[in-house]
Amino acid sequence: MAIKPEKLLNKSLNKKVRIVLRNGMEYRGILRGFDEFMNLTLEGVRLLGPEGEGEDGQDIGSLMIKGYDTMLIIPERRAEFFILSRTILATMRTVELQRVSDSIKEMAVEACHDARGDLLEALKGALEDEDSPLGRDILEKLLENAEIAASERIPYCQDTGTAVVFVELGEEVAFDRPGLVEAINEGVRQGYQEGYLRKSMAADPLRRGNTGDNTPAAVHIEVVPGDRLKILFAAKGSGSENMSALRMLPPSAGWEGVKEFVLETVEKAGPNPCPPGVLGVGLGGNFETCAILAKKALYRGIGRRNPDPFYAGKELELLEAVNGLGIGPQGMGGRTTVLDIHIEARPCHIGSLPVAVNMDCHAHRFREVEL
Amino acid sequence: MKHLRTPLTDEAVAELRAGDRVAISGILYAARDATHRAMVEALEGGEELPVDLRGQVIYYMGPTPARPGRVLGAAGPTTASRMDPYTPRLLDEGLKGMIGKGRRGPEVVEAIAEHGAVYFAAIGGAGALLSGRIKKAEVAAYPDLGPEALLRLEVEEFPAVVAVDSKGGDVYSRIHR
Ligand code: SF4
Repeated sequence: MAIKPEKLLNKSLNKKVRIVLRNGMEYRGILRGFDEFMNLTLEGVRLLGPEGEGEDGQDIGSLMIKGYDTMLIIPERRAEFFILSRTILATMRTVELQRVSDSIKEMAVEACHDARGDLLEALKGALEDEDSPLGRDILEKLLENAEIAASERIPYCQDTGTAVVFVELGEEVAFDRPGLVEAINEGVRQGYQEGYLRKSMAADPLRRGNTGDNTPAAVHIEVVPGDRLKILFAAKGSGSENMSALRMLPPSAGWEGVKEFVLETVEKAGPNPCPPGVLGVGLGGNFETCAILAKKALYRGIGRRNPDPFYAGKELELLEAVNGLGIGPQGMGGRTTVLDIHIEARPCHIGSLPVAVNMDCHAHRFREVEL
Repeated sequence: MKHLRTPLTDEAVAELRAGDRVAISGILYAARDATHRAMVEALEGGEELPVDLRGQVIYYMGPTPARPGRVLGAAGPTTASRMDPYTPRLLDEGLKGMIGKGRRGPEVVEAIAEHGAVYFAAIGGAGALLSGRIKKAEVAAYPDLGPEALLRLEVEEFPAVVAVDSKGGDVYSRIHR
């Protein structure tokens, strides 16, 4: 709830406050009055100097300070917090939120028009390996589609998706103003508007309607050590998202149970997720973290294996099994059902084995940037 | 590759088999969920459809907005099974063909066979390529539905595959179940 500034100042009336001016000078004194322009009158003022250097300061009696010159007014009892947070601020790297909005906007437009290099390579590789004539024809058309999208600036697919944004936020990163999530949504808004992308967000799951600007994005913020800021963007279509699934397996089901569930999910999906796409598989965690793991796995480049050799081997085993289903391009038969499978695992409860399969299509619009 | 022209004749449809590659030219009507609901509600209310569907082909599609100077933005097919609840009613009105992506439910496959109609699958996600095959687009009805208005499209050599033929042959069931 917003508190009016006058009210806050009223609370500090006749109490000790610390004033920081725009030029960095600091004063401490008793607040005796203020007006609508935030002009202040103070008594018993001590000049603390720039950045409050001289803590006791120099006695300068009464003072009037123009509201225009004032940067901060801090009740004395809060001042210690302020000093503390200023020390922290000094070690932080500041990033302008505008850059966050701009990069989201750019990634949205680019992802929806320019197929990633690894995707094109994978499609070409699949074309070489595909035996089904219909499947080959489809793969050729997908490559042609990618070319037209990039050169004529028509989105690769008309379902330009939900915007999914992961933020890996270093603990030593500060923003120049509040409003990270709003900055992300602003980027989505601008990207989808200026990029002629489809606005596909229903305002309510049951009452439907449309939010009109493709917001809100699905935002996941992870705080990580260091001063890096990484932003991952995806435009995720509903065709493949709708065929995704999660199951809480008993630990005794083991790898065989996981494999069976993945195969069952892909088989059930058939042509709907626009094969050939990519599978993100989350293993472990709990109900919600497992699903997030599966989504995050999709950001990994096609052809890149899990750094843990155990899971790298499982990925290849699963890839072989899924492509052995014969679903093929567009579900019309062939060996190219998925272009890659990425597994991400994390610890889980001794009584659980959660597994989530997030399906993605051949549009595979994933991007990332470091700010 | 078989070349088809809309409106489709019974003879042309009878020759098609699941798995055949086709190139369609002529008029298509673009409609998705809300458009279907509006049409079926009109019929149930005893009203006439805004267009005569006899021999016509509906394309399940909702495009991206067109850049200035273009007919449409990306214009690939959407999932056909979402229209399943409305399809038999429109087949009763003489609808002859549908273009979408993915499987149809067993009732729809049956209704298609019963009416000697056909369901084509276009390449899901090939929105840029398919957009180029659409030469003209105009609102035919339900302008109030905005992006889901009924559109009349003029297409040339629009590529698709016969997914369910007039005998009930289903390309997806042949591959696996
Ligand atoms: S599943 Fe992907 S490629 Fe298919 S229509 Fe949806 S967004 Fe496009």
